[in-house]
Amino acid sequence: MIFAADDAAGHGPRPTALFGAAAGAAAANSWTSVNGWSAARVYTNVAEEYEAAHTGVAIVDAGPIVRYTARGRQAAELLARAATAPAAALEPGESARGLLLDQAGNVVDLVETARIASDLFLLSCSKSHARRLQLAARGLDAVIEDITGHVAALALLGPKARDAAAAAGLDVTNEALAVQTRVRGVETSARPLSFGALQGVEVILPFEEALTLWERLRRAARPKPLGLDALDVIRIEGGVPRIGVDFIGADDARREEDKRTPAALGLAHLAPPTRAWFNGRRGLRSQLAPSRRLTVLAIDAARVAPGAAVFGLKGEIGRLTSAAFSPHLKRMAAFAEIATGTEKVEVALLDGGRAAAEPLETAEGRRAEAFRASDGRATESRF
Amino acid sequence: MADDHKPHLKPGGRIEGGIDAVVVGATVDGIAAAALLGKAGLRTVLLGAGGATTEDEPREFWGGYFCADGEHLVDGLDPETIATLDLYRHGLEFARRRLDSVYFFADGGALLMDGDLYRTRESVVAMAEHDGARFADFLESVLDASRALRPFFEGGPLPPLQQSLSTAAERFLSASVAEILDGAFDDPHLKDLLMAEALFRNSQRPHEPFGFVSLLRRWAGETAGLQGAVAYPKNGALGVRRALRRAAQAARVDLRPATGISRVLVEWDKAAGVEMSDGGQIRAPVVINASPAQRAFMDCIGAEHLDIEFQTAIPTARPQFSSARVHFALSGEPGDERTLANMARRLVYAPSLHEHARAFGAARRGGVEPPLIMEAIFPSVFDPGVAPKRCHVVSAILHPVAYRDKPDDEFRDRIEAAARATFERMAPGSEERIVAVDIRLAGDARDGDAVRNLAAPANALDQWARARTLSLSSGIGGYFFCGPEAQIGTGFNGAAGRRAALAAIRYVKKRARA
Repeated sequence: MIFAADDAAGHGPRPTALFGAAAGAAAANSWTSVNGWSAARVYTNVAEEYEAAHTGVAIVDAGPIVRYTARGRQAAELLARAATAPAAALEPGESARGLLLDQAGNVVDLVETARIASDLFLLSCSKSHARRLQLAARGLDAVIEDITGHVAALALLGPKARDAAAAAGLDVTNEALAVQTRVRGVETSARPLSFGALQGVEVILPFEEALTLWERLRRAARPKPLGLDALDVIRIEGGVPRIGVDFIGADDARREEDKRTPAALGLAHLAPPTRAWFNGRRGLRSQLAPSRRLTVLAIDAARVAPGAAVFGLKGEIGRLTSAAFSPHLKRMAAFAEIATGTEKVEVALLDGGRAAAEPLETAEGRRAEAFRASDGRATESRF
Repeated sequence: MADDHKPHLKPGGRIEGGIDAVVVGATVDGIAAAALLGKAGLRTVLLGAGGATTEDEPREFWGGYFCADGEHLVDGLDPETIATLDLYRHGLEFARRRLDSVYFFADGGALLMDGDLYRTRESVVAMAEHDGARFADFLESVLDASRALRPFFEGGPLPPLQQSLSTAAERFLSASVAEILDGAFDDPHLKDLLMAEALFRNSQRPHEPFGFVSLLRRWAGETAGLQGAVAYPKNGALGVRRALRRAAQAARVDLRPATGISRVLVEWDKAAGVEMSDGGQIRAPVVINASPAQRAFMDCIGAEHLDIEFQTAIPTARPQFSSARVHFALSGEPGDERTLANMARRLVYAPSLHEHARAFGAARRGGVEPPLIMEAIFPSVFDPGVAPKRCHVVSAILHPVAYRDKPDDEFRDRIEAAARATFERMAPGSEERIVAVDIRLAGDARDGDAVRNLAAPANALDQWARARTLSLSSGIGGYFFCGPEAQIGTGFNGAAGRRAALAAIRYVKKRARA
């Protein structure tokens, strides 16, 4: 569940299914547009929202995430082809993370594939990839459909997420599988979710019923609404890069040198070249090891700006791509694209000084490390 | 282990080993590629499309009248393929090495042009004295640009051009036919003549950009050592195919034209051979496929093994325009003296701009509106055996007609009427001597069929980009493509087959070193 970067020139975004409820909870009234849908940056206070997600339960309006269904006899082949997630190996109810890659093995987007039934899959993407997916379906007995505007999606994050979902009547007894259930006559699908280091539940339901479920959850567990700014802190701590912010998707990059491989983003474990064929696998095999890698830094400062220079022993070695103050670390956490193998670094501050920084161990980083240590065999990406 | 890494074995199927390369598709490019591989010392098997093949034999379309499908003239058979395979030694012979052309115009006028384009100035001066020098300059500039761009039209990268040439070449590559010819000459016949040559078998209409490049491509070709010339091979199209086949046999290629394949075996992202329709397999590290791209990639390899970006190069859109292949059986000699005197030449009906607009408009709407561009020859003059004594066969290509997947009888009747009407403009009084008409359309094509090339391709630049992608970027090691989409322009060429064979030989050498 990664939100794409805010729309650069977005005006008049469409309201998501949960906009009515979100607007009522957004005391800060700070809004932006993601994929043309309205999204709250802050509801009340970033620190409070962050705290709720780590100690209790937080609710996220996941309407701006782009959703596709793939149906048909060869729906598994279609998704196994389009994304690196092992769609064909998933049992009904299982979900897996993966990447969309271009022919040369560069990252187009981060995606999640969920098998709803034997011939029905749900694909969640940060951005729209209609043309790419339609092309992927060519020659296969499968139909891909964009359902983003037809469904509502919300995510519950935090240690009490499952309890909150259960209190609202959702069936979350199975910790590994998605479950279809009816809540007071409303068809819902709840599936386990992982966001950075946090676990949770994602619920998909009909567009018209969204406010009813939000209200049921609010009355049952009082989850704290979580805005994009708090989500940004959590994702940076978790080591999950954001498309359009930390890297440019290969389909949007205008120059070859702007494209990034999974290894350059620290996501090589999501695209193991030993997995059954997927788009870009051949290209991936011929890619050289990246000279720069996206790394999460913990910076001894209260404020740094994205774009700030990062210095190593021999001078500038890269730049910050995104940064947020981490209430947990009590200092700044930031993604930086820096030369590989760098340990001690400094980051330029707004006042002209420099602050010491060090690589931060993240949940995503641990998975990548396990993948490297196993020589490319530890490829578990299921939730 | 993933599915695509498992050897695809079918119980009961015969597995053949000890073979270095398999070529699929007995087209001109396919046979050329197989012969070149055989000549390089690779044990090569050439497979056809399956079923009986009749393309190497003349077809009797009316009692005692014979014709050959596909191309009837050669305007650019790859000189390197001819030289490497020594095709002259294997029976390639031209009945006319340099066919003069006679152009017939809408106002009833006609112009005889020398088969050597460099010597046409005299013909032009005879018709329009004041345009002679301008025409010579124009021709020289187009021929220079064509020659310089020849590697590009063979599917290679754009060659570096001299400054003086690059400006003209840039204009020729991007402009419409009308844009180039407007104001170039005073004489309308000259414009009509060049427009007919440029629009013939082209999908670009007179005012559409990237239209003129088609003429550039045609004149880049070399026939019997002469740039832009048109030749009639002995036995027509069959003569070229037979020579290639003999070259392949001499190179010890195992020819199996009646054997079709069901798919190409891919293991670990590399070609591993082919599976045949009967379930048997031929294991080989190199496979060259000369089938149309849709079959070569989507059917033989499967979408699940292809990169999505690569797949965009495989054409899906139906062509809008095509040409019609027409044969007339004449019960005697043409009725008029002018045609009678030019029967050993290439006859071209060059419509006026207005007629072009009507014909292309009608074709776009799915119909046919005569007169059309017609290129006709009398094969019976060069090879009397194809028609009864004192009778003749006219072999013609008519352009443009609408492309139809399944042409019905009514559509054929309209094409026949258009063909008769256009031929009547070239040879008045001949229509009453036509005893039979044979029509083959692009929609009649089977896999690897010669008439497939009748569909008018996209403009040459699009074709070049598509050909480059399809030939170079499938990503499957040891799998090479030389189907119709690998060729730029229409007609016999063989360069795509040569390029595929050379790439395959480089691959084999690299593999041996590793």
